[in-house]
Amino acid sequence: MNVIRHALILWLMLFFPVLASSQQRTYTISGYIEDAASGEKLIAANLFDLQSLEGTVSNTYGFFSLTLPSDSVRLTASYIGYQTLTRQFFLRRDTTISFRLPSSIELTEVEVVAEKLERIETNTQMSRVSVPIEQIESMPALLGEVDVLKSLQLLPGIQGGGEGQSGIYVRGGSPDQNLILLDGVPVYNVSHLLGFFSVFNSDAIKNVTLTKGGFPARYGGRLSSIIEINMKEGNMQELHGEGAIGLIASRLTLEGPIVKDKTSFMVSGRRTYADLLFKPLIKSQTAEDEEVKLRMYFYDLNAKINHKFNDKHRLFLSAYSGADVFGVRYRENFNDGYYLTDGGIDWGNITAAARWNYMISNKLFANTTLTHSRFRFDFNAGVEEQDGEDKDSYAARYFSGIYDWAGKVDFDYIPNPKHYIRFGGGITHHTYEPGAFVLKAEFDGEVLDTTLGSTNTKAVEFAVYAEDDINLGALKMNLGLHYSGFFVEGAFYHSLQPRIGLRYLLNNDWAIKASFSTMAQYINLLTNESLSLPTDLWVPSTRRIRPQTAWQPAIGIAKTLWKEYEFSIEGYYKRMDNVLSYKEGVSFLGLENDWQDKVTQGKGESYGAEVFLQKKRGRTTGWLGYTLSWTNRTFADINGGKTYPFKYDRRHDLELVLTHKVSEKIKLSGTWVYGTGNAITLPLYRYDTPVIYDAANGGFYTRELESIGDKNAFRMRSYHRLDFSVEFHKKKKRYERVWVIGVYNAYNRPNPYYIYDGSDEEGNRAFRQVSLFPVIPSVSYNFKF
Amino acid sequence: MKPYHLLIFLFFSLLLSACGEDFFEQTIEIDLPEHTPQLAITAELNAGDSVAWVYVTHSQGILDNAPANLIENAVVELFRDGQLMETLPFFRDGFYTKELASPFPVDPAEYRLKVSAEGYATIEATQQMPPLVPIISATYEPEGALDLDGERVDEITIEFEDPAGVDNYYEVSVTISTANWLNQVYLHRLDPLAEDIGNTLLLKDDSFAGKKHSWRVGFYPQYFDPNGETRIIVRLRSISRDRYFYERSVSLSYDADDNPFAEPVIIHSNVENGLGIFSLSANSEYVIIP
Repeated sequence: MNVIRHALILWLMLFFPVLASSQQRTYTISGYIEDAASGEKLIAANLFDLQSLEGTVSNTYGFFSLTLPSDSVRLTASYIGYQTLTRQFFLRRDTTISFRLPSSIELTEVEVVAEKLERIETNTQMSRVSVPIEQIESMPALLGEVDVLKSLQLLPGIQGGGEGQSGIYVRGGSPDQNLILLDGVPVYNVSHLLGFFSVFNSDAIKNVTLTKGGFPARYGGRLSSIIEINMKEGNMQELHGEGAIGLIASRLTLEGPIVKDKTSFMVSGRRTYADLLFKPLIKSQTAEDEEVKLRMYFYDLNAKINHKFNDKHRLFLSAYSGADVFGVRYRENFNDGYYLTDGGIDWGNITAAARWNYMISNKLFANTTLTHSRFRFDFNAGVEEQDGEDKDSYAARYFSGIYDWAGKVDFDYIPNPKHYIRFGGGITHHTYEPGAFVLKAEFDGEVLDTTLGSTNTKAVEFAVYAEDDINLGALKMNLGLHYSGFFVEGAFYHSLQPRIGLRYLLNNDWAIKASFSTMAQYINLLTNESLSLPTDLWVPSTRRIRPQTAWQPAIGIAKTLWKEYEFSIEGYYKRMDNVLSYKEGVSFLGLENDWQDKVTQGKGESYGAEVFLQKKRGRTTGWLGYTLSWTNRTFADINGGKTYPFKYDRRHDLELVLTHKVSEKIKLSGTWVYGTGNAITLPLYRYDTPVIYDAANGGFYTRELESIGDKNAFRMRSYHRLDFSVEFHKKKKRYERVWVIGVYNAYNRPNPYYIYDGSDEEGNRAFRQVSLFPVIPSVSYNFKF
Repeated sequence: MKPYHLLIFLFFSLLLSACGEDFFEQTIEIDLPEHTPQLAITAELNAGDSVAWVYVTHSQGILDNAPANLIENAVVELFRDGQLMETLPFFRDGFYTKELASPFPVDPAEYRLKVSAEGYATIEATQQMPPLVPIISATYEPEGALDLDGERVDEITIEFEDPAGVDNYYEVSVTISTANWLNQVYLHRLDPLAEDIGNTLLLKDDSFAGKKHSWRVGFYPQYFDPNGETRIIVRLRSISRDRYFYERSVSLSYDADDNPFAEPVIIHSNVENGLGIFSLSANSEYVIIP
């Protein structure tokens, strides 16, 4: 191992000559920054030496490394919502320290110092937003179900698609262009109930970060965004729990030590209960010789075990399983037989990850990850009938899915405060099941057993990267290279992607930031633009379907205002090639054609500006976001080859999110959103065509055909909505309870869901707008112990 | 009153004031560009037919409530290989028809249809007569198959030779004929490559180009008149590419009618300066006596 380590360090020194030239008498302080109460590692916490004015941040696993000259040091560790800790000592040897930050109740003088350290202008990274999970949990939500993805929709540059949907459209991209990672594992289907709820249970989540541009080299595989969601690790000190009873679902989370300070666990579950509520009603309506069983629910289960072998080794095992289940089984019994019908659809994900943290040295940290991800959709219907000796049966099943096995290794190497080097690589084996139909039947002794549809496709994807965050004082830059490849059907695609991020600090503390990144994507989602359906198919790039690629420059300014507000303006241009769309007029379902025959590839572009003002601390928190953008698509065989607006091209998009703590017992939250209406295609004119049913006698009738205009040439009405909620907290002897009363669409705005041409109340031809959600109240009971 | 009492009051006030009857669906105004009416035609000419017909109408704005005007004064001209073949006079109800001196020949030729009427731009469409593809054989097996939905159906297998060197498109229909009635049956797909467009099925020759092919189709068991002479008439139409895409787009358009999330469907047209379809086909028939 030592030989490998030295070889690695030597290679790094050669690769980054600046490191070799800066050798002097220095020592390294390394360790972890964690929550004092639970032992949870704190991501992106700040560590700063007030003597040398050098600093660093903790990585995803709470690890930090800071190399300083041998001298007196005064280290402060800080994180939002926590008290700042300061340690002072003389640095005379390599030192390992872990900072355990207590939760912050009141602002202290030291924390004011910390605030200066966390300024947005200090980071090279742009186009990244981290939303505190506490803020997400406080936001008003549809039917009271806290939704991580819907809270991300309230950020500039991000849209949610249709009314109530949990889809994510980032800077003009489509939903498949987001890599959504749960503890480092891609989750392919992120929604429940046709997209109205996301699969992420906020109680099980520790941290959410979204990167929509300026991608560092460690990221890849998708064009538009990387959404990293990390599950809680489990409290190392004592058993805790939280849960909620809501209108449509309840949830419970437990976490605690298995071996104190050594091993912890976290389990969390959520389930809807519409089927349980309907059960007595169905029973009362069912005759004695009938049996009816209704399946109608979705659930999520998260679990994690965190084991600390010693200060150098730590292991995380995490898993997620979630599904939507809808179906009915009906059986009727006769004297000498029965009739049975059973059918339904279910779909869901399973993910699992094993992660091993290894602090190889006080400057080199490694994380090795093995993951599995599976998404499967299953539709089945069957009939069975027995009459005496005769028995007939028929069963049909349609299924599709994607299975991944992956492994990767990531290294963080922090030689000195001027450099933060990351490098690593990974490989993924994909198996795609792009839709198959199985039919089994037995009638009068004759047996049919047939399978139709596309066959499985296997592919291997790999990526390697190296990046360095270089601090040259006023100028900071992140330079990196990402190289990825994809083997499929005997074809090999590969892509070398340079990544650049720059920050220049002006004298008045305004930071100018710029970035350029290129991305490649080897996986596609065949989906209807309007609705997230479980029948959406994940399919790979193939010999015929080339990988999607994108490049995106961005420039912006950022500054911390009035100590508590982060302000940024960014302008971006994103060009996407080989994006996929269904051809005009193809049917989404149906096995008559290979999916490759149904799609076409073209170009997309998005450009605009985003303004973001965020307040992360204090009694009042929240943000104001505004986006001005244009998004277009061009396909040779759609819209006559003419460029057209993307369905979610939104000229203006405004979000206001506020949470105010009135007292220890009452908290108010509100969100208001405004957006230009979605682009739609409308019929412009019509004409008749005859249908001749009796040629000999001239019998015919006419059918009306409609001609549409240019694709997406019209706009729905603008969308705006106000939601608010009130939390009533009360601390009981052994637990804290919170009643949350909320209202969705508080002023009952009939926002457009879709528009069709029909007729008005007088029977005249007219366009009709259908709206989905009026004002919807919600109430939930939450508890925590 | 404490602040949260006020909030609770506001909350319930909102609830009471909400949920008007028209919330979920309402009429909206959308500014549409003014529509200039165009001529729209439907013309299906088959080799072997002795009557040519063209349906002529005009387009209207989508929100126009008035019925379409009957166009009685159009000049409808049919050209064959550049030569005027027939001028079709107005017959009735939008139809222009002409009984031909001799049936449409099956030999390959280029046909052009030109329609002009006062107040409208003149329209034209051109088609090549597709090759006649004879049915080599057709067999019938009662309840011989299960369709793609698992239903028991009667099966007909049609054997034909696909002409090589050219893309071919087919439409099949089956008619039950007895002494008392004639019934075109609703066909079910047994071949997943076929397209269901209503009573008939469409097929491209992608998977059997230039080869002999057996096309299996099904229909629900029919009542055959025991006293009459029942015949099953199988009609294999070799159709032009434009007809294939027109029929397909019309069928998809109807399928999408009640689905607000369906991708918009452009009705295929081969008419210059206008709308509709001018199509040609060559029919081959085979009679089965069950």
